[in-house]
Amino acid sequence: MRRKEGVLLPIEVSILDAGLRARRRGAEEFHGFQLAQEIGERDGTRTLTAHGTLYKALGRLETAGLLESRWEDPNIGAAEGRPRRRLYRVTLAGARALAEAGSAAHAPTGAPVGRRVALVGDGAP
Amino acid sequence: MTTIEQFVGAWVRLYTAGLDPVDRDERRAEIASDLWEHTRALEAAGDNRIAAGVAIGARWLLGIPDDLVWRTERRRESRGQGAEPERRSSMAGFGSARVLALPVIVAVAAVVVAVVGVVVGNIQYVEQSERIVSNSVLESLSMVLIVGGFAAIVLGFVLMRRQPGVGAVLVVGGAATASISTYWLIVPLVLAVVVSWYGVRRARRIAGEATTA
Repeated sequence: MRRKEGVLLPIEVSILDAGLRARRRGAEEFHGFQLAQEIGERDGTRTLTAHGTLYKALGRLETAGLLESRWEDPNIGAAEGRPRRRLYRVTLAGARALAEAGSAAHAPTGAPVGRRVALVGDGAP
Repeated sequence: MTTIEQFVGAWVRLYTAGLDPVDRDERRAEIASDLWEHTRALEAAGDNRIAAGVAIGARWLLGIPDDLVWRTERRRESRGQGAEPERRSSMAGFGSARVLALPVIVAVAAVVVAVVGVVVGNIQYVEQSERIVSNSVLESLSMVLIVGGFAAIVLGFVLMRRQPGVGAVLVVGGAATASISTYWLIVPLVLAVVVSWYGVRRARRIAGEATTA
């Protein structure tokens, strides 16, 4: 999707908002499916964000410096009998961008956002 | 691993094929993790296999356009960062009229055969059933399949310019889908598979020649 420079898409607002809510509950880092669940719960929808949409948006946010990610130690996943997770966290720039999006962060996922925010890619946690 | 996990995994392997190894492996690993987590969450919630399949299938289906866009972006980016010969190969090969010629013929041939198949198949069906009005194309599910199939063919046609493999798959799938409710199912499918395979081979060969030239 093409968009103006510095404008957060609704899915990006939802991701940053979900990430910060997870942080407030003590989860500093989160993985993709966890995010999809958070967004689904917030929006009250049973169908979670599509794979392609979610991971494409996560990639955009990371490139813009609003998220950062790392792959968890493969031994942890192996010990629990599951694939390893890619863990994300919202950066300071991401939190700032969401704050500047203001009340739009509380709109449903499909709602237009149209607020301009500064995509400052300082990458700071 | 459940059937839907295997199916989505196959789709991920398909659309990440030929990408930069880092992009490819990371996307595959990330989706594998997501599928695993989602399946276990649905099991924990007590959903049966069908409900779980529908939930995961919906996420897969709705994300297909973004998957394809993501692939296009990754390829464009890796070409931009790639070595000069590689870039020359892409520019001189897959973007040229020579390479495009056969995939265009593939798409047109598949569309023509699918149209003939759909029309003939429906006429036969209506004649044999003796229920001409109630078996109208507009009243049946076949209309949805036809429209969806042709949409896939058009998308495949568009993608063939830069991604002959993905484009050919969509053309083949579209031709099969468009004619799935008719007696002509096998004809456009076989034609599309054979000609697409030949077209992709030819496109790659010409691109290879451009690289070595």
